[in-house]
Amino acid sequence: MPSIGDRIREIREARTLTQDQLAERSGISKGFLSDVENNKRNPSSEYVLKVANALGASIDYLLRGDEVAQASPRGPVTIPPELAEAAVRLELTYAQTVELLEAHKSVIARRSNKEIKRFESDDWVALHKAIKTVFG
Amino acid sequence: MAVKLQNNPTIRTLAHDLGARISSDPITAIKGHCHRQIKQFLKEFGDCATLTGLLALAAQKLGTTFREIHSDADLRNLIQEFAARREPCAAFFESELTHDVFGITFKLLNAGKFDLPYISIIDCRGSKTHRAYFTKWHELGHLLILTDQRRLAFRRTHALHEYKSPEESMVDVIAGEFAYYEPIIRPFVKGQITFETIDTARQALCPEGSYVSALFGLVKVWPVPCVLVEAKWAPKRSGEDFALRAVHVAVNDEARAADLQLHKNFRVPRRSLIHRVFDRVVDDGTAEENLAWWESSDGTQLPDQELRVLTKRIGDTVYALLIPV
Repeated sequence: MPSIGDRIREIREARTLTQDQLAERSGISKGFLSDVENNKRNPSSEYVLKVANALGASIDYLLRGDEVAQASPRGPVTIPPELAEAAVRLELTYAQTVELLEAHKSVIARRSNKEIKRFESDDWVALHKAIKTVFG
Repeated sequence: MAVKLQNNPTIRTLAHDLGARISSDPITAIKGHCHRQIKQFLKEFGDCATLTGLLALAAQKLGTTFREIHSDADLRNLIQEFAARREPCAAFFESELTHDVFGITFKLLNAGKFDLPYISIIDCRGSKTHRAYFTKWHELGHLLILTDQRRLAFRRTHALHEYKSPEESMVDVIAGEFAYYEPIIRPFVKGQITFETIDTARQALCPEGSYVSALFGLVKVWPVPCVLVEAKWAPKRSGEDFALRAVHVAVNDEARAADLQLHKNFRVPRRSLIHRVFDRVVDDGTAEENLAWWESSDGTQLPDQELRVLTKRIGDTVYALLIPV
């Protein structure tokens, strides 16, 4: 059965981080990290919290292997009229339109001192372009 | 601001979404909702003695990871990392992190079995770095009151006007509750209050918090009467009559109990050490003064009260601790 050390190594490698990088990011010593990964030492809860946050991983997964329950099932999809207009301009399929909508909704919160305004058709087009630029 | 927020329909809707009764005070209800969660996190974890630790714990429990951006190169690396993970948010990092945005939280759409569901990007480039600690709490504030995205949906490009939405103001209130969370701070704030003892407590509790935010956060809970004044060259509320004024004032509970009160925007007395430090006549120091030196704009003198005044000049601002003798 995998140990905490095994799971730390699993995620660190999935994130393509070296032990040095993870040690630096989490503010712990590389020697201690190496010992934990090799099951030579048992980390404290404070240590596991630091490593979990540095890895962007769930502490419950690190401690017990509990997989993270992902987002609840989607509710009804409402396509705003500005997106519908942009979808026509971009000749998007329904599935692509919903994907664009989901991408936009992935912004949960932002701290700013400027007003936010309604997304217009051109903004949806620009968003689609930005996604295409990054993902091809 | 609190009164306005209290009557705002968005804030009332939020309180209702979080399960508060229609008749209850929405701000108290929302803060209570957040306090219950934080208390539960602490109870479950049991090993958290500093504000830095509380921040890490709350981030984990609320499902987010902070990623700080200190340079444009950091941002490019982050875009590459999340593009490799096929996360659409990678396409927004650059366009969203404009000069007026301090932090932003994304939901991951392709999270794996061990991934936390969110990522919070904290922009620490340039002068934004001083706000990083509070920005982190601001992002957690949003997650503490996350219900669904109705209130944010489809309203997200940058406008020209400076404006803070009611929900953003509410989240600032929540961030203020926890950035200097009293149960964690209490053991660290004791003895004489000086700028040095405040900074010692800040270093022990959360070195990443800014000096000024720590002044306001720690004075409020220090168990001796104290008023913190931030003095700047500023006009009256009407926009005229520039003078050195107390632009921000924090009165702690002990000071209030001792009838020591000072209001925002009062003109700083010319003979006060605060004014002399501002005028660069003398360096920072300590002086024995009297509250009765302070007058409101209608000429009303404040009560006779001997004070010890300590000053700290930072740039064009003078901070002062007013402590009854």
